[in-house]
Amino acid sequence: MAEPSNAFVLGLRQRGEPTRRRARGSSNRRRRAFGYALLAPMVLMLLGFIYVPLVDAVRTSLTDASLATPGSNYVGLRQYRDLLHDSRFWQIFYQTVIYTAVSVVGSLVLGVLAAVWLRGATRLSPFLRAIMLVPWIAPPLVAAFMWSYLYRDTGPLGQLAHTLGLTGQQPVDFLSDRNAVAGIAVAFMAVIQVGIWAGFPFVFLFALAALSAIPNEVYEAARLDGAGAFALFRWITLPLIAPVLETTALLLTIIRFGGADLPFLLTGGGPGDTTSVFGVLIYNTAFGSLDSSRAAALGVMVFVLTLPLSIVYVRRSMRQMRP
Amino acid sequence: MTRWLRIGLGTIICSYALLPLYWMVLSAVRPPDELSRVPPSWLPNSISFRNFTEIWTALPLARYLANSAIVAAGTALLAVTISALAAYSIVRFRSRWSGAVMAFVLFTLTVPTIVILVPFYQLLTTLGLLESRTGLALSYSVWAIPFNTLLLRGYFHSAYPTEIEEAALVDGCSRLSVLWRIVLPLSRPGLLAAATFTVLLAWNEFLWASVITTGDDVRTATVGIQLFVGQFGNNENLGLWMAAAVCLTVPVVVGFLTLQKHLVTAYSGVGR
Repeated sequence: MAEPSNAFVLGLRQRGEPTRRRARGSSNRRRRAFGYALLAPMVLMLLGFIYVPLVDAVRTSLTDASLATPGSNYVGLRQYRDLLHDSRFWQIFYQTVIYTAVSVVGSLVLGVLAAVWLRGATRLSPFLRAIMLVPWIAPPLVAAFMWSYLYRDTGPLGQLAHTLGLTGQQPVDFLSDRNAVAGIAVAFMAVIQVGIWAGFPFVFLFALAALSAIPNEVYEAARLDGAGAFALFRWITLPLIAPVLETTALLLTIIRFGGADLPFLLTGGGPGDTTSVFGVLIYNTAFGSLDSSRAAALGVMVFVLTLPLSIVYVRRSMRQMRP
Repeated sequence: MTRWLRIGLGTIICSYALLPLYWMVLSAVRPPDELSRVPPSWLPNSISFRNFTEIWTALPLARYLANSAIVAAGTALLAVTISALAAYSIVRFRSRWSGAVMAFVLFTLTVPTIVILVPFYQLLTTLGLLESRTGLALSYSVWAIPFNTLLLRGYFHSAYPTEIEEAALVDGCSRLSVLWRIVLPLSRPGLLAAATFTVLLAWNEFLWASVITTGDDVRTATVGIQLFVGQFGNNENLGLWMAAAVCLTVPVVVGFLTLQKHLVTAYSGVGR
């Protein structure tokens, strides 16, 4: 930043030939005011439309408010107490953790694999990169549509699984299959799989950017020392892209933990609650049961649960940024 | 050997990424009798565009798409303007608050929108913005601003030398006209990347739109198509859904892929 010279230049322009000191002081003030004025719309908009509602959510969660009836009474922490004593809440909490963890890890592995694969690629790479980004660009509605079509008993994957002898007598629709494999319902696995598919381009994009910042000489030197492909990945690539992967993983974790669209569109949480996650529960509580106070309490819980991750994310990102 | 491994791996990842959209296009151009065949074939045998001529009368898709386009354009205008001003301020007018502002933006990016679902809904009710494209564009703008600000901050950092701006100041430009005549034109690729991200968000979003727009004349395409599927929840209209899905997907995918070279550079600059 060429701040002093900038202020000096402005001082000269505005003041002609007064003492340099006064000119700088006054123009600095104007300069600062201009800077704050540019910032103000963004800050005010986020305060008004994110943080005021956030405070409002906390307030609503302490009442028995409902979207069906006007007016409400203060009930203290009753909503939270009820939730913590509700076995359905714990089941969905557990499922949200599984959904988040497995889909984020899956997206990380696949995203890094795709990035490493594309790094050394050919003149086709812009085209291939575009293909990798398609799951990220496609509307979640269409993604959910298409995966549920693919998963159907009459759909290509349902039929394929049947041909391979995985489904017993009849072909099954994956998304309504409650049978558990390794403790997880098939329907839920199918939802998680879509989470991996939708998330891997996000990791891929940032991993690829981090990879292309690594100079080729590093790899050449290591290769001369006799390192194989796996050693290169383990001792050079991975450590160098780790900081970027960390922030990407944190962000994706928060997105998945509070996300609702994919599970909602794929199954709506069903069959039963087998594929429900917090996002779907909040949505159904607010606009299905119209229980706005309960939905607000759930929202606040999601906020509190993701808060540690957010803080780590902010700190790591601040450290990675250019000054 | 490693060469074949590479090609094999690449083919698998690319097919996986494309599988749902491949199936969408395939099903949209399939004649009805072939569509209902079990097991379905993985390759097209014959092609028919009947679904694409019928879809426009089966549901008011043109109006839905127009609504989506209006909301997306409005969102992009609002969100990119506000983010660009803020990002420019963060990069060029550093103060002791700069760090705090960055932390504020980064933190806001991580607040899940589901957390404020109910109060936000009530806020829009109070403002009289339910059932309106304005309300929807406003919501999406709020969601897009943190990411856009980060993206444009990264862009302003490295897009061109600051000396250009200083020279203009010396030549007697006011700060506002520097912003208008120099900064914004020089940053067009960055602004375009931010606008594309915003359009993508607004065009693709479903859940919130389904709450906000319930009337036919303001309904966006994702909501309209989902409703159509719900109404005809059986196989008879499968081909029509697929055609509708193609109409929804093609504009964003084609738009993004045409611009992708600029976009990818700008997106990867986020948070650096």
